[in-house]
Amino acid sequence: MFANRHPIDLSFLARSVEYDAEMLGIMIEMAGEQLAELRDVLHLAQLNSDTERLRFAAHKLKSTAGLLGRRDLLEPLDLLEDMHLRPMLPGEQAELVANVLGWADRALDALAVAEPIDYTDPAT
Amino acid sequence: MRCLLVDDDALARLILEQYVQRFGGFEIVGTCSSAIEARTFLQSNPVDALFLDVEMPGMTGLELLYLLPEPPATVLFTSKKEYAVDAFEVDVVDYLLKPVPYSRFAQAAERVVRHLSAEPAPSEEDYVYIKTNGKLVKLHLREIAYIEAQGDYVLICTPTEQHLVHGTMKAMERKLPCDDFARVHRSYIVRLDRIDNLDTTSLVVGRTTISIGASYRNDVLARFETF
Repeated sequence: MFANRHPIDLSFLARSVEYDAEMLGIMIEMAGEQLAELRDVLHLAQLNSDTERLRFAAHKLKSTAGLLGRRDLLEPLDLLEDMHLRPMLPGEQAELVANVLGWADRALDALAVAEPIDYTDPAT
Repeated sequence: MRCLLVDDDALARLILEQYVQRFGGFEIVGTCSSAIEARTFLQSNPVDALFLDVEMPGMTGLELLYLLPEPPATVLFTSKKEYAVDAFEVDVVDYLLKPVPYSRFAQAAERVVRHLSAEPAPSEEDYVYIKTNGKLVKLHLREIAYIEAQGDYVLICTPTEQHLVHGTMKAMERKLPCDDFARVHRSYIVRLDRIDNLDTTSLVVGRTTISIGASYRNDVLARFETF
């Protein structure tokens, strides 16, 4: 789920701004900044065993992942967000966080080289 | 139509702004990154419509709606389906799952427009079901004498019974046929044919005297000129 597909799909964002390259450029930049910040929050929360911060980061990452075309990540991120309700097996949480961090790194790399002009309206 | 956008996610907020502008007809009077900020904003800036995220730190969108005495027409956004039941209890116009495609947003915005432009829909039924004491109770509209606001609840009074129901006066107003009921005060809706007598400042329903609010006076008295 985390590694076997391209880390981002910007077609949702492109559609949301009607393929306006300038607007999409702004969104790609915002998404990159947001994702980098959340990635760090998640990493630090994991290092410090800070469950509240970890759940907060997982919740915010759901929104970002969804906007970056990765709805498939909502379910594992939900598991992290709701871990106070559904405790995980030993090691399960650490593995999940490592996978999310790995995805975030790949997504950041992909966002850094993403070109808005690559996303054009298929109808034109 | 004045609207407020509330989402703690900056990117989601920007997309929402794009959608609202593309749809047209709405004036964005503010954007807020938290429900707490939105609550403060709404105290001095009334809006017709609210596009509101549910899950935000500090206070959720649903908690905000519970706190507003007269919530605007609201569209809720969330990434979790389980809020749907709560959402409809606070009488939202629509409930959207993130990420929201424009087509689905436009459908919700259209509902808001219809909701705001429509007169309160006359009910085809002559009864409503109300949720009270954990049960759904059938209540004939002709039995209702008046409805009184009580904080986050409304007290529905018939000549023989009283039912305390979670909800707002605005939501009640929308559910009741406007030919039969009138808002006469910020805290009262009255069934017109239950009024025994009235003057310019108050009216009597059974043994209860109800003040007519200054801002409702002209509308109330006009209803009786047509009798």
